[in-house]
Amino acid sequence: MFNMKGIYIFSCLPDHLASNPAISWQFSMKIKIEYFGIPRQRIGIASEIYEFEKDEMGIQEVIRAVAQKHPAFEKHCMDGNTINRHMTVNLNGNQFFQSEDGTARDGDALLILSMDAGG
Amino acid sequence: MLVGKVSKTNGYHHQYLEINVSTGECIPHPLGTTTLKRSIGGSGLGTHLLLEHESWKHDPLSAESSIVFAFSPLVGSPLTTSAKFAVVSRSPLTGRINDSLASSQFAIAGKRTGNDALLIKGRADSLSILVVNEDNIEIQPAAHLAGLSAEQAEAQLRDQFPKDYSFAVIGPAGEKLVHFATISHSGRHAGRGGSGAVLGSKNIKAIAVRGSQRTDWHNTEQLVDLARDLSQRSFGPATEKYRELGTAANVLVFNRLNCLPTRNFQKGSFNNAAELSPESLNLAREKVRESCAACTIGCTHVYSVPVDGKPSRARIEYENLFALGPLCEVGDQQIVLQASQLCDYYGIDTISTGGTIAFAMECVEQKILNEPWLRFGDGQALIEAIHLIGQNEGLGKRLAQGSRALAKDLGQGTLAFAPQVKGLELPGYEPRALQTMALGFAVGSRGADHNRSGAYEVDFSENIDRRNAEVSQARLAVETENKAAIMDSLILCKFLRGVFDDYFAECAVMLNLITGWNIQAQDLVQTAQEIINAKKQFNILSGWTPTEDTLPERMLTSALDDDQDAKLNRQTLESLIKAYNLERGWDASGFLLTNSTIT
Repeated sequence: MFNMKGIYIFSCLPDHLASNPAISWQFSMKIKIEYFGIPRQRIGIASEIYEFEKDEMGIQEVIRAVAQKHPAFEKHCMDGNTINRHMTVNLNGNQFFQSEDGTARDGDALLILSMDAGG
Repeated sequence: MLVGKVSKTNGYHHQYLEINVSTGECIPHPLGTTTLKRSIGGSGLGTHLLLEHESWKHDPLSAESSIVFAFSPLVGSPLTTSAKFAVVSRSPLTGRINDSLASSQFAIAGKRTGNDALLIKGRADSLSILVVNEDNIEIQPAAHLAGLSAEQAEAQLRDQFPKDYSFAVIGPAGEKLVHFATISHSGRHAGRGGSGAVLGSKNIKAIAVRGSQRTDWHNTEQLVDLARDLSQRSFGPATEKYRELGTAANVLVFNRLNCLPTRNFQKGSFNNAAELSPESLNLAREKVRESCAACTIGCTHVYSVPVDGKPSRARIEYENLFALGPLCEVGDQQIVLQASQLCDYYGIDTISTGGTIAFAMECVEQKILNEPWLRFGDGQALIEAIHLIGQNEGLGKRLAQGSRALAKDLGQGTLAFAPQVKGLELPGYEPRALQTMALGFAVGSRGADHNRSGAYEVDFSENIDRRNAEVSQARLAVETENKAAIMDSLILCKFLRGVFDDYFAECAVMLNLITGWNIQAQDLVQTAQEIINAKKQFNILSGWTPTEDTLPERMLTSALDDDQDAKLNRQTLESLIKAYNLERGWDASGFLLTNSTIT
């Protein structure tokens, strides 16, 4: 756990620990970040749980937290404060976000993936 | 036979060659600038020539039918990914226009024969090699190549011919007129719609081309600068997914988004998807990365697939994995790679192969087709079915005509779940979960197709509810089709599309540097419309009716088994289609208006 501008990130917790109330009771919001394609290649993991001391927060803010934790992600997948145009973010398998912002809440899953889908 | 001397100016030879393989007759035809401006090359030019030769009139497998190998003004230029050609004909699978594209030295050598396209008609007396040089053509016997895979035949041809020849070859399935047979060259395939069967019906096992005629460019210095910049951009983030993981990277993403077609489009996710992901393949197998001719991207990922203790390789794409894996519920990595390799061996389209077999598996499950060995999830049954298709034997004779023909043969309502549009099997994008793509599939001129419509990009963009399409998305679907029509006519690889900041404007610049024209972005949008009009015109003349623009009925009446929110009804699809037709400038049912222009 480390503190960044009021955001508490309980990163790299395995799912079974992150879902353990004895460990995570003090945090009000848990978000699962799932990486696909290039983001997964750069970070080297498939998913992780982030915890924030908030009830909800902007998706772009979550992405910036990911970038702060993973320099390789920041270098390869970000363009300044937002995800670069070759990446996209999806909330719970439903809505996509790129330049615009949305709201993430406790229990949400945020998917970060490469933009092009052609095969 | 002598072929007339041709001009070599600004990207074009201003000539195409009509070859009758029945008689050996060869006629050079001029190609005027007006025609070339309106069709560009590749898919656009091929469609134009098929219309000119009234190819819609003829059975695609008859001697009278035509098949066009169309090059483009960019072929031979330093622009990355430009060594491509289009094979255009009436499809034996759909009865409608078919254009399939591929990259290899064949494009460069073919254009150096001094022609912008080769149009082939007739039927040779026996299995033959069509040899096209810049000053003559020959038809040589090919009995020694009969039954060989395209790779084996090409290896023999390399021994037989001087080294500056390039070849396009069909496999055993093309010889046996399997309706989704491919044409191969240097391990690449013009895959969809059965162009291999069209060539096979002409008794042409291989086309050998060579030449020395180059075209010059209007502004070489600026073209080289642009080519250098484009190559540089092609090494960047827009293509890194293709370089590092290949198109197979889609497997896990689509699975997570519930749009990975599984069990003959009954489900959108597959339990064993991870086993087929490139991440798993990379861990388990040796891999090499290869590039097409004149390409800086290098998206081809070739994995080792030892079979019976012998080393061998399989080139893997997302579409192979989806069609031969989840669609048939086969999760065994070795089996799926082996199945993909077998499709290459016989020379058959992996999407149509997997789609037709998955459909047959469901028919077996419903006890409509009495082939109890052919079960979902049975990898050995999948392999056996591919052998039967490739050899056109037993059940394979029925499967070899595709899922629509099989459904019509079986009856009993099976057409409702045959995974096809206009006879072409759907690629790996679940339409109910990607509803702009559903529209793209329904209206596609060659049937359900992800290369002529990139509407999935709309579904994967913000402000879009991919499970609840709105008519306003029809305009976006049109835009993706227009982009594809230009890329397929220029021709450039679609994997480059992400590097452009202003797609049509940049394409106009490269075309102007080669041709000396002065076209603008908006002109190319108009050209795209005219190319798509020409394809529609071909289809109308060949018997198209608006009822063909639809999806399998089950997709319009049932939600996905594993995602009840993924449902699409007929009324919604019809609204989308109507909006699309009007956006295209056609009438609401999809017919061209009298003032519609075509290439």
